Amino acid sequence: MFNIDDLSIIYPENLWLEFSALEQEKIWYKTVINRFKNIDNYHGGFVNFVCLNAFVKWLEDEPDLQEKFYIPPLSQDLHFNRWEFVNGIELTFNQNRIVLIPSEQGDISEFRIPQEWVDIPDWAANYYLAVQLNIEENWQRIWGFISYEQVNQKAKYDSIDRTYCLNNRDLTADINIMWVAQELCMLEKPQVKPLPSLSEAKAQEIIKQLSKPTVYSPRLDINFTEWGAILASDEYRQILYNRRIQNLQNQQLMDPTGKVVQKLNLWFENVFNEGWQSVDDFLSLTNTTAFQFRSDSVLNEVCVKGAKLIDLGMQLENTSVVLLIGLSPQIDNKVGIRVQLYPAFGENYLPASIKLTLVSKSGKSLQYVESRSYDNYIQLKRFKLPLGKFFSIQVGFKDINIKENFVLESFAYSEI
Amino acid sequence: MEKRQNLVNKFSSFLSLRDDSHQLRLIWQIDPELEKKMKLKVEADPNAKEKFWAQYFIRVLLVQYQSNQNLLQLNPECSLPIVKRHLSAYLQESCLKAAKEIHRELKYIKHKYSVEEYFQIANIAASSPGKLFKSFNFARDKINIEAYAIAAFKRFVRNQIYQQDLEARRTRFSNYGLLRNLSVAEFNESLVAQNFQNNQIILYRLAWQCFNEISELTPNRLSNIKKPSNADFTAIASYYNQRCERLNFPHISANYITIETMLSSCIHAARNYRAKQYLAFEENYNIIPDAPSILDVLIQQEEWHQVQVIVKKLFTNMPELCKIIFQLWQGLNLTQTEVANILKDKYPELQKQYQVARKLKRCSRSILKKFAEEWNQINSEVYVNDDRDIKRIKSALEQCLKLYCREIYFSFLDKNIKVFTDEEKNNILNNNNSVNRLSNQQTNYDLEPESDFVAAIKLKLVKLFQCQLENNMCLPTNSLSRVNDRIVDFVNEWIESK
Repeated sequence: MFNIDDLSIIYPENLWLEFSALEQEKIWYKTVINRFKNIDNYHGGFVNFVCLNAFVKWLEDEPDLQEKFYIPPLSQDLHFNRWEFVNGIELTFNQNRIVLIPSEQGDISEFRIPQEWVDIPDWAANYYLAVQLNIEENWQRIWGFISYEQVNQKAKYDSIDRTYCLNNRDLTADINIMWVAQELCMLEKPQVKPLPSLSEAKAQEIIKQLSKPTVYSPRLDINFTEWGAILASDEYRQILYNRRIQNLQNQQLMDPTGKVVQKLNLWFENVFNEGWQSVDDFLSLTNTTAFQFRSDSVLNEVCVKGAKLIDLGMQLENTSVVLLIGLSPQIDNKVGIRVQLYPAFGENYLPASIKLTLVSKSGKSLQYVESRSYDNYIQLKRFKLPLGKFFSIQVGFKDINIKENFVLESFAYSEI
Repeated sequence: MEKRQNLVNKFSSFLSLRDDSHQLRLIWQIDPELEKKMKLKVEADPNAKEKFWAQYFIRVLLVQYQSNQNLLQLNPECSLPIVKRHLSAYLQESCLKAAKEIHRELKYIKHKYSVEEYFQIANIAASSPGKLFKSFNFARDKINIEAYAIAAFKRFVRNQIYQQDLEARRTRFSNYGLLRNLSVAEFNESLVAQNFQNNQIILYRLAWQCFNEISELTPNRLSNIKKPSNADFTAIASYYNQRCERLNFPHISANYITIETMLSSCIHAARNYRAKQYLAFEENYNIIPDAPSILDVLIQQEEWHQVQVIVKKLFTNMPELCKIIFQLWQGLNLTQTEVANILKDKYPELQKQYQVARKLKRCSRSILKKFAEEWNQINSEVYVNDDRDIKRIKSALEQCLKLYCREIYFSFLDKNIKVFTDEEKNNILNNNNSVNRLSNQQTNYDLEPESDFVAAIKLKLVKLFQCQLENNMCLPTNSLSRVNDRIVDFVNEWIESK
């Protein structure tokens, strides 16, 4: 089967981009997960993020183009609150608008542009770029572009998925032509028929209707003019986004008694959320030196480690501590668990009398350990639990108790 | 014989290739019916040349396709099937040329096809000339029908081998992973192939779309998606029912079993679809041909000289490395991989084909921009207005750059030949009617023996030329030896031009 070298020989006019390493990809992915909290439907956001990331990296090697680009920083909500609803990435080049439309399909005989990018006046772009991604083989290619005018002339509208559909032959393969056209030719803002504006009451009603969490985008749930009007407004879009996320979190993260629960099995897939991170990321992000986890040898037998900075803040006299949990699957279908507590931000010692407790689902204290005056860290005795058991770890200091809840469901991955 | 000489044969015979112990044999087979009809036409209009007939047949085809009326059905000598066959006969050389070019361009890909295989694929496109010429633009393309056809054949071959690779990949996908990898076009075609009715296809497509939006993905694993759980199927069913109502599709309310059954049929259809040998030529769609632009005409005619002047100036001002890459690529006709192989020791940033490709893209972008600017200054009345205009001048620019790079190399050879005696010169230059090759290429088309004497002089000329190229580009001695066959080809072309 062809790899990227072969393919770039077969299609020399396309722009072929390789992603660096699998590891980097995982970081993007984690970032997406963090942004998208616990939305199941994160894959679209992930694909868009990978695509944008590779594009931005390529631009770094093309200074003549890069200086004319404006790309909102990746951390901005702007990207994410669109990706929640629609596939596509908006960029500004030389005052003109370009939209990248990524797709993971192998077949490139057609190019589909979501209606939003064409019919919402402020979203319509001067040029649309077709991007094919192969996430498993770490490459993407831009296989063609088409102008707004050409889309209007040649596209067929498909009401089933609300896209404008173009044939491969309608696109121009060499994007150099587009760069030069944008520099030399006067491009006008696409003339798009304005969408009727919604009354405040109507908008609120629609938002209420659509904020019911669904794993799919609500873009097809109401007619396009209303949907377009909601989406076009930065304010409405943000409200809708926030509400959906809030509702999803409420729905998904609660166990029957209404507590937030960490699914530890996700850690084995390198998925951490709610402030939890893998130890490696934690070290690089917090500038905490690995030296601090001096007892790492204790964790040597452990295969996944997660850490969370517990900012006790005012509650515990401005103290921060790091809660570290190591998991190691056992042959008997149980998991060995190691729990440790460290001081954070370069502190050498934990405050005295901080208490680390293992609590059962029913609230019973199973074991605990308390720090003395100059402890570098404290840890619970290693314990084993069968799959499916809930447990909580409680960090207590004086009158304050902070509780983290966990459950370990069955493993999906073969690597264990 | 590689080329047909006789006018009647050109429109009535077909080529078949035999791979005969590493020698490609060309066999021309005459179609008696076509021959008879063509003879009659030629007798009726003895002054008409090859170009006239080719354009005439294309016109008949295009009129037919655009008006969708069988205007010419009245004339049995010119029925559409016959016209198509005349044209596909006419395109045989272009097919072979496209096959040979693509064979060379794709020399470095993993799965290698033979010239014969490429020829077979290109011939599929040639046998549907109606579709092949659908986007033919008389104002622009009639001057060089062969170039139009070769470009179309090469595009077709590339897409076909890409599709064959996609087919090969189907085994990598889990059932539901394959569903996720399909495009809407493939999905529809796969169901059509299973004789689904149109109204059924719409409902299945809706179910498939709901599945696509609901199925959960683990990172990096589009191909390994597991079968959805019953709870997932239920969610898909409820979304499906809701969508059907919204779109007013008459349907029977679906539950998880219905959805699972529908998706299983889709998987079955998709597996069959991707298992078929992909040899369909284009789908049905309406092409709105670009109106011929005044630019097209200008570029073809009096402005050509102006273009050359601009190109020469721009080329001279290009950075040194760009010049080298352009000369190797356009002048010597090397593939980008070959360019990378030659330059990678000296230029560490050019190790792989795609690095050369990016460097080339950067140079082309800059030269295209400058070229368009100059063009606008000179031709203020025919201003370059949009991307389509830029596309038009780009092909003129490329053609001209190629010519210019070749001219540079021709001038090297003009100089080199001066070191030979008159007798040697005559021997080389007068031996030009057979295109012989010095290298051990597997495809020798003509086997007239070349005298050792001539071969020795030629070898000397080739060596001199190679040294001069290496010096000119400051490359280590013998670094061009690995593309010896291209250098020999080039020298032969130069000899032919004399």
